[in-house]
Amino acid sequence: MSERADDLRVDPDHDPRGLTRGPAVTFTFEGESVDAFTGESIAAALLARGVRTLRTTRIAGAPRGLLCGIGACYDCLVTIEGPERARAVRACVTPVTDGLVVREHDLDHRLAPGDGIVT
Amino acid sequence: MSAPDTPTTTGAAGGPARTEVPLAVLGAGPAGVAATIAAARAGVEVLLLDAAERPGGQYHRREPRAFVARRPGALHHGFAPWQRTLAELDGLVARGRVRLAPGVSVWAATSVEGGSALATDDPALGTVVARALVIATGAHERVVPFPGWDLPGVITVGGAQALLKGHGVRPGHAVVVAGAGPLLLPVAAALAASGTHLVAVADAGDPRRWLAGGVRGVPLGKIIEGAGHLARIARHGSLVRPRTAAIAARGDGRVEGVVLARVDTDWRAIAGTERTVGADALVTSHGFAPTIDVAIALGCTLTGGVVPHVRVDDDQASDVAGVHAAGEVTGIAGADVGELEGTVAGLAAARHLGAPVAEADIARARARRRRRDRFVATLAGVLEVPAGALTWAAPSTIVCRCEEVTRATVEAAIDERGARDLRSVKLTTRCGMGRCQGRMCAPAVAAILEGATGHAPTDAGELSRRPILTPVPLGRLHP
Amino acid sequence: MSADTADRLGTPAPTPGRAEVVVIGSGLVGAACAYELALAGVAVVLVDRGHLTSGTTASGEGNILVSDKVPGPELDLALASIARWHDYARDLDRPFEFDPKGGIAIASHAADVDALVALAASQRAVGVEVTVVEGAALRALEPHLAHDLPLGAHYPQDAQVQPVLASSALIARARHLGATVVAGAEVTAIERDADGRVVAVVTSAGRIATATVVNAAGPWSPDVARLAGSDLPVRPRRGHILVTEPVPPLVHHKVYEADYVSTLVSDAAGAQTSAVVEGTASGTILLGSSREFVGFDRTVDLDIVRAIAAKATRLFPVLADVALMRVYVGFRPWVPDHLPIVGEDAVVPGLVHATGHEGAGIGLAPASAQVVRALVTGSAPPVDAAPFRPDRPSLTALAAPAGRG
Repeated sequence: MSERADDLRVDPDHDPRGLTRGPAVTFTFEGESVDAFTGESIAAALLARGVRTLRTTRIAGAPRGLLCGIGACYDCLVTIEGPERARAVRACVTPVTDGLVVREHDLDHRLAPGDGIVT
Repeated sequence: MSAPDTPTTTGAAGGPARTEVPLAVLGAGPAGVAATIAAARAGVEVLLLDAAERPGGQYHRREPRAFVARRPGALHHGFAPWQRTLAELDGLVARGRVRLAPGVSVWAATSVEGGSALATDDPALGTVVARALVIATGAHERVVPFPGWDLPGVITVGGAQALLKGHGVRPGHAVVVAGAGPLLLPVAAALAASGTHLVAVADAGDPRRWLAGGVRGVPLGKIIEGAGHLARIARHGSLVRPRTAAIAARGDGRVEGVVLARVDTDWRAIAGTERTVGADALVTSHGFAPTIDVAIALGCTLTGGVVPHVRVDDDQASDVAGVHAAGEVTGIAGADVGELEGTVAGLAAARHLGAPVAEADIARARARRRRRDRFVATLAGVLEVPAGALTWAAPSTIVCRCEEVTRATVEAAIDERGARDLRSVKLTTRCGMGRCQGRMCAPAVAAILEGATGHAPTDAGELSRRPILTPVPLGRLHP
Repeated sequence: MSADTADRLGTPAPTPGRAEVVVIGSGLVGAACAYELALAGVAVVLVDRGHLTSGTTASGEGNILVSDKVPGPELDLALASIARWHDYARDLDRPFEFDPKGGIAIASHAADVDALVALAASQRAVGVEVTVVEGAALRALEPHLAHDLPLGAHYPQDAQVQPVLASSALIARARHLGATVVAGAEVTAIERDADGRVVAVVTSAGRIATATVVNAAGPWSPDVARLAGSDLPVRPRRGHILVTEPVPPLVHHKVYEADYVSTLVSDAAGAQTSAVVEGTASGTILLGSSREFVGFDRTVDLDIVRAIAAKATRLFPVLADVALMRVYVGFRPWVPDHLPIVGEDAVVPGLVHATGHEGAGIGLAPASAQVVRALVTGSAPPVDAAPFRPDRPSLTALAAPAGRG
């Protein structure tokens, strides 16, 4: 467990459950290295290190982060690099893996405001 | 897990897989698990589908399997009984009466001859065709829009709970917890016990609403539980401020401060009582909205106005033959009531399938549920968001987060363009067209419409109506 | 709200009491008619019973194709129309994602190869640019195509637009040129004089005296024709479109299976699916296609969705893990002899039809509108318009096929 003072992970003195986290992993977000633990979601791992902005919106360019935490709101989108292509995922339901390359979600940014296709 | 002799037919080369079952239960929270156990005990083979990897829904959300907890029950409510329930479920799985299908998403649902067809993204399951169905899809949180609610650092109460219970992560270093609903105090208490510095805890609600149902409206156990939360919060240095709301979040690209204000019984901010506190996280929500998309796709009738739920009778039966519903999706009532409803639904579904269910058993289950009627009615009163909450959002406040639609745009569609229901608001403003399928904005849009037209929208649930219920990879449509 | 949204909703305008021409229907054909007429100085009123461009055009992919047309009048119209689309892209103020990306027809079965090669040759003879490609050359055009496809034909002239933006742009410019646009005005009657000639259009928003009505109501054009005492053999032919999540560029052209052409001329009452895959400027990928006669039933058919997904991933295996976000249906205005109906009604003088484009309306709209303008003003049409007349023998001789609709 990290000993950084600003880590938001629950520390052993205040941990009613006595959690032992999974094996340590390292991934990158926007090029910066982030230490995390197997089993954590990307959102939890980033938030634990105080990173709250996960993307900017396509029309207003406003910053967004984690809202509902259970995969319902789709606000926490991040883009992860894959072998064939980049893909958008919900950070709160996507587990971290060692070597994962993550960046602020940007795949929506060419959507025209007037995209009028109606469901 | 072992698979029972559930017939699974794979179509001819190129055709989709298809799993035919007598009963499918959708959702493995307290209600869904109760329904599964009740039906399996009555002799029916059950397929229990859930999107999560472990059963429990939100109420019994657990840490990831990669973590080990020495005291897993801490922070949980009713942990021991739930473990017993899970053990019983495992026993039924071992005996082949129940098949678990975790990590499965249902991307479309249609009523078919003699049952319901659920299109799943699991290649082994394909389309599940169930003669009977219990919908136990739970609820998601409702957040009343206010200026700054879209800033990073604003997290729902359930989201903070998921972070804490799921990952052992606190939402911030200086946290305001403000909102309403039954999760507010338990989550604030859990945060306090986990070493989170709570700058303020504010409940917009009026504690007196709990008494509206008379003393019998609130079970003694709940009163004791509530007192326990208050005590825990106090022990960690905070007081809960009643009739106080977070009406704005401020900051440069993230939450840096929260504006708290006293509110009247209509939740209107009382002028002159606004105070700004410094914070790096605002944990907020104002109750729940049932997750009704599958029910709508199957044609179930909804009821309930601004935040609709599935209408069911005393047997938890919807108005679609063979389709039952239990738990929060039939109206927000909590996990205990959800379990009682699940038991009724499981027995009723089993009887619908011709299993020998003694009338005495189902009558007893119904009676247990009926005994909570007054509590449920009281809870509905407590959870109701008064119209004054609509005043928090400014014209420039985002209402539909996915499509970045402001309050002003929604009101212009109503006032100037003649939009009178959810569908016309959706078509003219794009509210509800984003990835979240209208979940986050539907209550607010409905409330705005109600304010403008004088009645709840005539097309309740319309923002949740769509052919594809959840994004699904193209390769998983045709397993 | 955005200017585009405001235009789609329509500026509340008092309905004029008279007009030189009333255009019914604000899809791309109606919008182009309003624009071409306004450009020619004609006093036009464009009416739509709903929000602007809320019909078939809103469900369209935005195809502008020469590739899928056999030599004949429709191909001639398409060639003229593509040229006019380039004018629009240059002249109109609002961008509408006009992308001259080109199309590729794929013969995915050996059996289709000869037919595709022969089609390409016949099209080349009448002025279509087409190159047959296979192997490495095919994959150079589309790197993510499956490796075992026998042959393709590359059509550089094919293009794509965002149809609602394009329609909005045309309507906005028509307004600037003096056209009046009235949304939410349903036509309830078409008045005629003793000679059967059009004298007025009655709408739910007022009566407009006029001698010329353009029926651009797409699959609903028979309803309009009947209001004037005539009829049209146009039937709705439903199609499904699948929309994926936005992804980085994976598909660079409009790519479709060559049997797409044969399904266009098929009259089978049953559902027909054929792979069509194209990316959009916004990053989403559109997948089609299907053709069914089910009246105006808007229920999405999941088996058709599955069939389209399967065929699309057969062409582009990379699509297997791209998420499907939305599905919607639209209704093409189908005509038994597979040619648009652009011309004056044989029975009702003053009633000009501009409909029946089936799945090609977006591509053919500009030239169709030029034909309408020629009819109204006496100018020269871009092509010989006789094959599109409502009273042509092939239309009146053919009965609609059996089937629901």
